[in-house]
Amino acid sequence: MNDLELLQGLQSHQSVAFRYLVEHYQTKVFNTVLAIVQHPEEAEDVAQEVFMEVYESIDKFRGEARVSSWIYRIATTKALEAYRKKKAQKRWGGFLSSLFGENNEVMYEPIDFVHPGVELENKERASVLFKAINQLSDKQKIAFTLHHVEGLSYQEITEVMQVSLSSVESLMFRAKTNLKSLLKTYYTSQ
Amino acid sequence: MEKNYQVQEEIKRTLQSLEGLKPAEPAPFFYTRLQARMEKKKGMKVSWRWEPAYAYAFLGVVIFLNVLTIYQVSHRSSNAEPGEQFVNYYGLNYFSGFDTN
Repeated sequence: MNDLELLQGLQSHQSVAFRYLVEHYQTKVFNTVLAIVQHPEEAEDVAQEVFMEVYESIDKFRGEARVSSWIYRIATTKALEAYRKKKAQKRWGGFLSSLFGENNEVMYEPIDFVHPGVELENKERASVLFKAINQLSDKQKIAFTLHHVEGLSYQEITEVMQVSLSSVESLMFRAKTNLKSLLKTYYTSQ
Repeated sequence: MEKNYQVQEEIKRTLQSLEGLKPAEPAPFFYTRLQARMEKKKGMKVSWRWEPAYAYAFLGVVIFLNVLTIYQVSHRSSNAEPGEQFVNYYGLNYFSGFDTN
């Protein structure tokens, strides 16, 4: 099924087309979302929301971009929203524990994220890297994740993020520079 | 010097740690769970559509209870009238005992 057939099928609300879309994109969406939210159960929830959004807004999609780019855009937007929400909840939880916790103990400890697709010998380093990725700006995080986790080319990232190629190159350069700096601080203190 | 070299080596290897990364897959039957969630949402939308009807029904009950209460209060005061008439007729009000006339 090509993009046009898929789009026509989706816009006429054919369940076969929607099922095809979900089965074709579920791994791409889940993998992208997981790299950003860094929690498997939450990633599943967000991935479901992505497909619900696709289903509900398919009539607004005019085919100005590829279906894959459009889905990646929804996925990254939803994942960032979920990540921000979780961060705000953590901050609020920390504030409440400082108010009501016994002896100001930390009541919530984030668990280190290990991506299930990382090779065994790289697990520890990848965990450190994902922590550093979390400290990047949203745009740098999306560009870096789409390239290094999803394997998208810079050209494909321009379609997802709706920016120029030079902007993507600049984002990637800054992301790598910031990561090097963050990792240097981490390893120097070890 | 040696420490700096080690740190640079760690940074390089950490940045390369995502090479050969295999995509993470959702748990099996993702589509089934998605369908169930969409059906649930659709059901919630239907109940939301009916919510104004529930609100009007509730408002109707509140108005009925108010009318009933007003009716009962007015009915009670009209029942009290013969008693007052009796007291007035026989001069049994509280102040009659102090009447100096």
